[in-house]
Amino acid sequence: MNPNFTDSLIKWTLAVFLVVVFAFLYMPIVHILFASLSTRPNFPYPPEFNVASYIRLSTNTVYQSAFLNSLLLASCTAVLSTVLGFLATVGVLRFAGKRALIYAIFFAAPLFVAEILLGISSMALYYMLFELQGNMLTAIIANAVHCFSFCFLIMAAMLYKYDWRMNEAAIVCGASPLRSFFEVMLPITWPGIMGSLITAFVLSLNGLDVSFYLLGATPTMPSVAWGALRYGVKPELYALSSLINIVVFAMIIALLVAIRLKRKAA
Amino acid sequence: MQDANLQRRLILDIPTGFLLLFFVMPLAALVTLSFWQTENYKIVHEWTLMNYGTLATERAYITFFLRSLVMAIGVSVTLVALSWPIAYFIVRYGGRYRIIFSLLLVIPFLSGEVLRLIALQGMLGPAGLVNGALIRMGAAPLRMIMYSNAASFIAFIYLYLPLVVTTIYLSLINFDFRLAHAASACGANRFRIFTEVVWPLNLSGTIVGFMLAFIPTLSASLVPRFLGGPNGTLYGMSMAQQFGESGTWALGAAMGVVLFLFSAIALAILSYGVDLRRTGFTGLGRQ
Amino acid sequence: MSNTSSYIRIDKVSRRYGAFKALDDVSLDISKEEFIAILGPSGSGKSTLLRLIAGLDRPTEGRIHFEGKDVTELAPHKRGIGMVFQEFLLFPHRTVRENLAFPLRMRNEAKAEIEERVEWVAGILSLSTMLDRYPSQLSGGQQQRVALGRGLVARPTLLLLDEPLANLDRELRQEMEIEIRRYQKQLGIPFIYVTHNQEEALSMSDRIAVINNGRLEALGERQAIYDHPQTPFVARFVGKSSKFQGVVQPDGATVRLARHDYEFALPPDKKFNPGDAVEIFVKNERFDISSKQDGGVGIPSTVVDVVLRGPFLEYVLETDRGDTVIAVKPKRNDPIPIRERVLLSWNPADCHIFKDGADDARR
Ligand SMILES: Nc1ncnc2c1ncn2[C@@H]1O[C@H](COP(=O)(O)OP(=O)(O)OP(=O)(O)O)[C@@H](O)[C@H]1O
Ligand SMILES: [Mg+2]
Repeated sequence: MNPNFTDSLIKWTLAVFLVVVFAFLYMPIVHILFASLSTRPNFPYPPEFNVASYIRLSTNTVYQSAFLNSLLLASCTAVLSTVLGFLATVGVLRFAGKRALIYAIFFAAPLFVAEILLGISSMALYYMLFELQGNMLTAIIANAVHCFSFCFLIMAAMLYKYDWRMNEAAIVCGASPLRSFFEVMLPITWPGIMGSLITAFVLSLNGLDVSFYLLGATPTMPSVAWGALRYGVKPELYALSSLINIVVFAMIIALLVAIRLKRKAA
Repeated sequence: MQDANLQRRLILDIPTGFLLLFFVMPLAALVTLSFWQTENYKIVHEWTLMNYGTLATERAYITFFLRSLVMAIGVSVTLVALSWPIAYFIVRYGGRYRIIFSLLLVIPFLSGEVLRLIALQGMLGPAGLVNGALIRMGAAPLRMIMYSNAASFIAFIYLYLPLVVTTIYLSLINFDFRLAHAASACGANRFRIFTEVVWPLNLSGTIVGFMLAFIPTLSASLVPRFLGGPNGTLYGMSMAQQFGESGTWALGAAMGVVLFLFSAIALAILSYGVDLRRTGFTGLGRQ
Repeated sequence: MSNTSSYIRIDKVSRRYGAFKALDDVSLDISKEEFIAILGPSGSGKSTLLRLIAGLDRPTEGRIHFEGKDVTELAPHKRGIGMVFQEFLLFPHRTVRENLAFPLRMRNEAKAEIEERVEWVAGILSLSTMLDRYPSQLSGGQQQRVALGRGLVARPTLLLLDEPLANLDRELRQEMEIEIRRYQKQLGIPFIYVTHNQEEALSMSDRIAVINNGRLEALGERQAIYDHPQTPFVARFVGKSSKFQGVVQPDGATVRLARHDYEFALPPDKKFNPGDAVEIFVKNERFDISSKQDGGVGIPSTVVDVVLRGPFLEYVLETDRGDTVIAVKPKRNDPIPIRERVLLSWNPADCHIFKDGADDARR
């Protein structure tokens, strides 16, 4: 067979496959977007545009406090795990020497421990040691453990290509170490740091397992959604899910555009 | 000199200490708890192997575990098989749209398990899109995809596909395709290029992807509870119940320890079977 | 050089990594307006020395003084130096103008002053037309000039250059060698120039410090280093030369080569005991080649190849014992033909003779 023909056959077969996969991934999301906007949520075709379920969602006080709790939890977790992940990345790439691999494996280990185990074991620890029922702080910490590995890997991928002597170049130009970080390192590596913040934020915003065991009665978005789910899916849940998807989508687009703009400027 | 060393130490010690305190310690606590007892929702500090005994003898737990294991292996193998062509296509033919393609894959992953399950329920449930459409067309609803292990299977694929594709994508994107061209120049055909060069050099990335699907599937509690139906109880769900309804914490802790050990063994077996150097792994240093 | 006149003083400085001494008891005084080259093979500790002077690293022993002030413990960004790196290390997210302005901004100069200085440095480095480009839009040579400009713009007390030309091609390198030396004379501050390339060191510097295995092997005017090497290492490393083994004859006044049938008189300033084994270094351009028929003395050899190197001819000779020797001669219209039998000899005053094993004895 003509190799060019075989090549394009492979290419187009793969392309069709990709389209099917995207459809599989996005159909449910689009479907519930329609469902959330429809008066007939079970089979919302033809689509309507009815925001009743969004209004009910926004006036529901349980969802409101859950939203605030989740926001607090996710922001703190994102910052905490990114800072720790940054230290870990710098440590492994610069200072670990021969032990770099060992440290890297240790820092990536939480990735290979199920989230539910993290939740359960943290609960066990706090309960055994302090008779604590779990609170926001412990939930943030346990979430940060889970997100830490993601942050570490994301930033390591970015900083791996960074030439550390760039900092030295700034320092011999008269910049203090702190200034060299803000003026040189941060502007060059911010996509990795931003990516780490976003990933940790989104993961902890949506994670149920850890919060479920460590937050007790404090409602968060996933736990309220889960609670509601047990009594049948309601259109409000569709609205909530769609909202989160839209926000995540917007955040990613914003990051992409920002990178584009920066690159265009360069 | 002194403060430079101190700074170095702190940079590595802070994250290490954090993980020791909040990752290793809890796991140690879990192990300890698994050797104690729970009676009437109270922990009894008496050392015993009874929890493990229960796990090893009670039929239900063995069934749950085996069912989870089969499910996890099936899901992960399917995911790797699905993800390879996708990642390969994006890396080879994605051109400047690579980033867009890969982000489009990640975005659904970011909205979290609960909400994604809700979306999936909208598709698969008795009143969901698929069955709704079938009924509207006058056909019988598909029972298979409602509250069954098949439904769980589809859900796992749906949940973890982005994660596995991304992992394999990251491995492939760092792979130097000139090596494939070199192999081609040496006379290898497409199939041989793949089996002799592309696959082995991306094996470590593939294993990571496999594990990232295997572990949450093995320990899943939400999916079986929500989609699995009466015969779909999986190990993780049963474990969660020990900490919830039944209040048998110690038994749950033992289940957790077994789960952890099993994931660790699976990871060890997979990475032991692979000679890292033959997968092109060069350590962490810059070359 | 007396203590008072030295501008930069490096006093018995060592840098250990565990048991390994990357730099071993190095002392160096550098005067204002001096161009000094630090020359040594790869891994000899040149960059280590430069990083100690810059303050990017601290010595484990010894002190460093700038203008009589002890700066050993001073943070690098307070030392008021300029530095140029082999990889240039321009800030990729900043334009050329911003790169050049960076050291001035760090010193909190006024805006007008910054502009003026940037224009000035761009003027002398002919960068004025590309001030608004990003480093990725420049050629290697242009990037190199920006790196140089960034080192010079803030009137540093001295400029450190770590193999700044190593990444450039040969032609550009020779052009930049001349320019860099010109800037140094123009600015009147010391340049400390690290290189492993002896030609670069010889063509640019006033003085050369040769480093080997972390130790200072030689320090002196470039001509003296070239013409009168004091150690076998320097003789081998500076200039291109060939080495022979020999033995001092019982009369104590002649040397006989070990592998060749050739004897020559010891220069009067060299004192050896009869029977001493010696190493003889001869610079490639100091060989005499005479035709076999002329009946002189020398190492009998055959011309294997003749290579044209600009105004010079490089004869590749094979001695009858099978050693390859290269001899460089000014270009002639009638070069010695290939396969010609010749005799290879030298003027005893032009070779460098050391007792065998002198290098090891020093260690
Ligand atoms: N951080 C370090 N830890 C251990 N050894 C080091 C370290 N930095 C440098 N060395 C060692 O010190 C010696 C001198 O290194 P240095 O970088 O100064 O060499 P150099 O003369 O600049 O070589 P090159 O011409 O290759 O740049 C080398 O043997 C190197 O391996
Ligand atoms: Mg060097």
